Amino acid sequence: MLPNPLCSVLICTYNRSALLRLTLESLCVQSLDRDKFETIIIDDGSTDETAKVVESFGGRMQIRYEYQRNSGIASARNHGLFLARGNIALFQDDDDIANPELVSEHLRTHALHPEDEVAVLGHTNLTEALAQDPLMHYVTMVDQYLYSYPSIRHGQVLGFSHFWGGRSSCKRKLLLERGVFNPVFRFGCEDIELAFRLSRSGFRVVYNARAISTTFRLISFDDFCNRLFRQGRSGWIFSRMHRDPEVQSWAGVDQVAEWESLKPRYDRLVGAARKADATVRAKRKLDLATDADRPPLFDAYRAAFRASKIKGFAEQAREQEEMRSPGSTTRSAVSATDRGGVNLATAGMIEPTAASSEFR
Amino acid sequence: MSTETRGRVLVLGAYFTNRESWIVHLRSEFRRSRKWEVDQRWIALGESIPSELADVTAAASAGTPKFILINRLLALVNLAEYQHVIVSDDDISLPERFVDDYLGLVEQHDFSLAQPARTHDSYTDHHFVSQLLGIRARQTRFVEIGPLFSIRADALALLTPFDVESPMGWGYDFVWPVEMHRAGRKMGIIDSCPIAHTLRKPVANYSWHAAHEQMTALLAKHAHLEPLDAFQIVKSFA
Repeated sequence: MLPNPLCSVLICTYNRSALLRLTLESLCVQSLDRDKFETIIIDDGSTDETAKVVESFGGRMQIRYEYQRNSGIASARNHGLFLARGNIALFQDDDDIANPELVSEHLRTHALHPEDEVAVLGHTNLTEALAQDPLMHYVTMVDQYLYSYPSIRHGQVLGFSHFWGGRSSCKRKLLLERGVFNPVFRFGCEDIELAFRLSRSGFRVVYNARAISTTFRLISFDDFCNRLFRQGRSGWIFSRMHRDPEVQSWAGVDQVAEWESLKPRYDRLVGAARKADATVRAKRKLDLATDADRPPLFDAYRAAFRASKIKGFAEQAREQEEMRSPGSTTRSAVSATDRGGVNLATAGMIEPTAASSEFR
Repeated sequence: MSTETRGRVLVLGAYFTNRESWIVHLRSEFRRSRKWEVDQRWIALGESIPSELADVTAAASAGTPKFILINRLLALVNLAEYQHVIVSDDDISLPERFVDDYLGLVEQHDFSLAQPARTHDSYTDHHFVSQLLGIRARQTRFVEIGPLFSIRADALALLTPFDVESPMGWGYDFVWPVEMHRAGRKMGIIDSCPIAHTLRKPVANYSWHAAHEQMTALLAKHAHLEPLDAFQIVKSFA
């Protein structure tokens, strides 16, 4: 067996073989010697060419592939963590291209901060094309639903809410000893919830703006609404697990009270934003100016995305309430899994990842 | 013995007589196997043997560490008659068809030493043994000393009798992978039939410090893995 690498790059993936190929290509040209890191692919039930793509990289890097039935990102990350041999576990998304210095930069920051409790957050850029996209610009630079880099600086020490999966690394020892991802989270909050638990014993995150990866997958308007809906569901679960005021504030679940007034308008809000998004895209294709369209478009995005997240809170809250109610068949079904399967009774289940094209 | 079964399994364990336990459930579930003839030999941790459990209880004993008791039970039987030995605590809950499903996967994956994963609501000392969703089993470099593990016949001579230098078993699980590797045997965790360890907190009934000192002494004398090397999956099976 080869000596243990310094770093294990863990990539969870689901039916994104074409994107994964580009991600793996970027890991083949790291400045760090290839015997110093390994790449582990956890295939969360893909039905596409993922296995073949990974196999094609066999001679070019230390790479390992393991398959699991679709179980969500938290389970996949735990699976990867237990497969890892490196002292540093770097969680990388399957649709991000690694800068050649990415792994070295993560290791450099860990060398500066060898304490077990210190994790590292890298920086994720958008490709030039994505940066021009109105929705991607809005979600990364305006209201920062996706990352919030404009508000942090290189070297800053950050709290639990900045342990962003897919661009963060930590000491493997810390997770093995203190806690792993909670598998109830199939999408969203799995990283922040773990970091919150670890923060009770000093966990913190150092931001390294030079540990760069570049995301190249365009997220559509409807995908983003779905993403926020699912994050809302996860956020609700997170807020019920930990009644700490920091968690309540981060999750923003107090907005759930607005759902009753939003509900009758939800489809119209989303429809209006979808239409505005399509209009601006059509104008861009024709090289027409869209500067004046941006403020109202962003207002429309803001309303639709906010409503989608609140909808997620509300639906999760309703389902959990139904599970708790006497005589509920859902409650019985969950209880029946307690001895033989996963106990999700305290948190409620989230819909299967496979139901969505969205993984991250 | 029925000619239909795949062989004989020996279940060894100890149960408290003065604390809540799931011994009745365990006795019943172990008996339910359709594929194995299961013999149970338990020790009652108390002054006397409860009459309702006399059929599976070999002796009563109070205040004796777990693996000294298990060694005593091992000495009472002809191990050559058994294909598997299961060592169980009394505070776990088993899924239905546990013996058949669990040992089926143990045999399928050729594990000489194995344990079921723990449900996510279980008390857990090592996160590594929590159930991984999406896989049925994993070959590992770690099998924990409890609350339930199994040894296949081919590894019994290797691992038993248990080293009573650490009579609560602490440290065995870091020595076992070295011994198993030297002998060319596989070990692993079965994820698809997890057990719930929710009734009592571990180390609630003995001294953490004493057990830790005993572990330190044991590890000083035996080749062993460090936790970071032990908590690794060799191969997953979906």
